[in-house]
Amino acid sequence: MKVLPDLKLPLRDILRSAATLADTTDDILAPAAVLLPPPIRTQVGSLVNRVRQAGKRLVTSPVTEDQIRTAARFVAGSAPDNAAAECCATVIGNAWEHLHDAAGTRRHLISETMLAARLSRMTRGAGQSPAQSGANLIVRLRDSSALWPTASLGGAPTAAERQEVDLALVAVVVWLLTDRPASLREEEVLLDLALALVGAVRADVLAAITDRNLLAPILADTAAHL
Amino acid sequence: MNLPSLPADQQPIHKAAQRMRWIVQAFEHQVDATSRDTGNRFSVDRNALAQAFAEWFKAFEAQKPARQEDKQAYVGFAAGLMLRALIRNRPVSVVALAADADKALPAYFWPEGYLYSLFCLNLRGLVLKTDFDAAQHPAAALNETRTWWSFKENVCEDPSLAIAFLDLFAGDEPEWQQPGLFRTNGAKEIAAQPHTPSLDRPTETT
Repeated sequence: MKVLPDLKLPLRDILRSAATLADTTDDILAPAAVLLPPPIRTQVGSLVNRVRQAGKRLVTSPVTEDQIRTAARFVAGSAPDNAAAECCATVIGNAWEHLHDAAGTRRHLISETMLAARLSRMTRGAGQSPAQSGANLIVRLRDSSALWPTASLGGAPTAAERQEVDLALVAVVVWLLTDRPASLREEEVLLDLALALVGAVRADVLAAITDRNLLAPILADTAAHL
Repeated sequence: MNLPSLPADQQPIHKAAQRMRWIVQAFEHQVDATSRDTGNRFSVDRNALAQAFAEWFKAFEAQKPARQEDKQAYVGFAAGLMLRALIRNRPVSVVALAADADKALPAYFWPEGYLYSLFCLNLRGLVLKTDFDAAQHPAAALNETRTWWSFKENVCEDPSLAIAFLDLFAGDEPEWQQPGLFRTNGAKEIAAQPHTPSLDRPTETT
């Protein structure tokens, strides 16, 4: 029987796309905007901003500590069911938004629906360690269309854009593989630290990003020292 | 000491210090304490701190001794490696000096270096005390302006000399020739003493 995703997932994807496209629209319209009369320029800017803010507000609904624990178990390979896959997609989507909001960088598109579908189809090797399971998840997600560098919506991603997405994905997985802290506030801090730590070892991470056997020990080491 | 208390799971400090979450918390405690004591205000770049932590951890693992009897001596060396990583990666910037800053004092002569050194000495002292039941005895050199001139000038040219200078400040025997190399045969026992002077306040040079 085919399992349909929770309808909230596609809805969040639509809102997320609207917010992301609003960001992109700003960039695309910037050169033309100076040619518009000031009142129209203000109105267009205000409309784009309202779309962006509404989308972001609705997308970043908070996750609970239980959801994070379930997602962590899924990433580690110890909760391989569809409900856990969907929960994991929601947590990854939320973490994704948090990282981009915290860094103030360009948003990269993520589809929770595609993420959930891909995660629920993941096969698990017998006796996989948590880090091997995490590496497997990263390699599989990189092959999917669940994560997209925003600037590349109209074309192929550049190497730098691809690397930015890779490092964010690895940071989220490292965060989910590490020991859980005591509160949601600490979870957010830990997620930020995960991105900083992954950034500090970026050369090792990027050299191993396509090879789950090389990537697994890096994930294990980084998560152990986060 | 201005470092966080023992972790809830009672993990030894030398193990907790190998996790970035603890180091960041400890470092931010030190920044707050040093700001209170000196009146200097700092900003912390967590990405640079992560870079320092990752660089420190690689260096720490590379020379970690296998013999149990070398572990205590390695604490001092590891603290020196941390000072070198902080000086190289510069995670702290001075936002404002205290209004009455006297640049003849180490805390105002080189505020960032002073903060890094206090952090590493406090970390070193805490690990020795809690995990090895030993104490460190900071030397007068810690408060000597001339030593700080030399410290700043030399580590800017060769950051590995930070390891030797931290030994000097901690009252240990510095290895000036190859400071970046841990020598197990040169390991020194640090005698346990009942009292460790506070390192948190700048002191007048005598």
